[in-house]
This record gives sequence, structure tokens and C-alpha cells, in this order.
Amino acid sequence: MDNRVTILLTLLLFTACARGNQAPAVTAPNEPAPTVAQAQATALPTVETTVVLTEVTAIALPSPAEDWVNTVNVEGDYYIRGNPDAPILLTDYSDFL
Amino acid sequence: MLRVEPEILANYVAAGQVKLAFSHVLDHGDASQVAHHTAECAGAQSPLAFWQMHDLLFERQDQLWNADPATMVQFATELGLDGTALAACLADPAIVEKVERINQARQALGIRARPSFTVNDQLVQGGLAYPTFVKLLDELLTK
Repeated sequence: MDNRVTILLTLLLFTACARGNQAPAVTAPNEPAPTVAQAQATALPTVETTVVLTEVTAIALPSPAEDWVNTVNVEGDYYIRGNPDAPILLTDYSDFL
Repeated sequence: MLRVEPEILANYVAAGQVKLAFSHVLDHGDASQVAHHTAECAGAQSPLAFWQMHDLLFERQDQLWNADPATMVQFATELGLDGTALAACLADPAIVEKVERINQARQALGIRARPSFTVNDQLVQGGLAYPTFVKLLDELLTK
């Protein structure tokens, strides 16, 4: 993965530099336009490369705070929602109706 | 509890200071049983699903009086649960026994009023306004 990315970046840098070194086409008012042969002779070689990236780099992100609202543990007969080490257990005795 | 549960979740459970349990109270015959069995059957698929179903059942309270297993399967499907498994679970004697066992444990504690709560070992009967809960919880947290 790293080698392929390095190759890709090198090739892209090379291509960019090559294009950057090309002088802008400026034609003196009285000079004839360059012929096709001249243009071909002065054209810099181009490199066409296709790199297929098949791997995805895992980026280590800082771990978020615990999502206690969506944390549920089973304790005996009960589904306990929240931090299992919370100092307070609040039990609701209710009917759904 | 339902009235203040969102605030308790946001301010105490999310902070890791309070954890919640729900105890089944069967006061309305078959309608109660179908609803509580459904919550347990959701929990059998995933512990978090118990609470998701708990929230949905309270939200759809007005539909529970005449609810049948088909309605419960529809609720389960809405939550992304396996409706077929839930339908089969509703008839599972182990689920029926579990819900009844929890209901009897509540009766053994002498809890009659609805809603009732225990905060650690302290029994609170009847609904409380959120500021009262705050006072109670903060006192325990500062001990």
C-alpha cells in the first residue's frame, strides 16, 4: 500500500513539474506560428499511469466518550441501561399502559 | 417515569452517573402481558432492543389497549428486529414466566402505586417532578 502510494505521488509530482516547466505559448507578432512538426519536437513526454488502490488505510481516531445511553447489560432478570459502574441504580416499576 | 426519563437519560445516564432498570408491572391483564412480553422478546434479540422497544411501547401507549401479537410484530419490524422470531418468542413459556417473576418481585416489595421507583434502596412511590429527581440524585452523588 505505502509503496504504491509513494509511486503514485512521485508520478503525479513528476507530471506536475513537467507541465509546470512548459513555457507559456507566446508568439512574437511577426513570427510565423510554429508548425506541427516543431510543436511535436518540443512537446515534453507525458506519463500516463493508472494506479488502482485496493486497500483502505485505517485511520486511528480519538476514541469518543462512552455512549452510556445506548449501553445495556443484563444483570439477572433485568436489562440495565447505562454505565454498569454507575453509583446509582434507578429502577422504574411501570406498566406500559 | 416516562415524563422525566429523557432528562434523566440526558443529564445523568449519559454522564455515567445513573443506570436504569425497568421492572414489569402487570396491571391491565392481557394487554399488559402482551406489551411486557414484547419488550422481553425484543431484549432476547438484543439487550439494547429491550430499551428501544420500551421507548416505543410508551410512545404508542394509546395503541396497546387492543394490541395483538401482529401489532407487536409490526413494532419489532419498525425497530429492525426479526418479526418472525418475535412472534414465536411471545408464546415462549420462559418469557411468560420471567415477566411474571419480575411482577411478583415487585409485589413482594409492597410496591402498589404506579409509577414507583427505587433509587438504590430507597423506595419512591408516585410520579416525581424532574427537580425533585435532581435533588434526590445529587444528594446521593455527593455522599
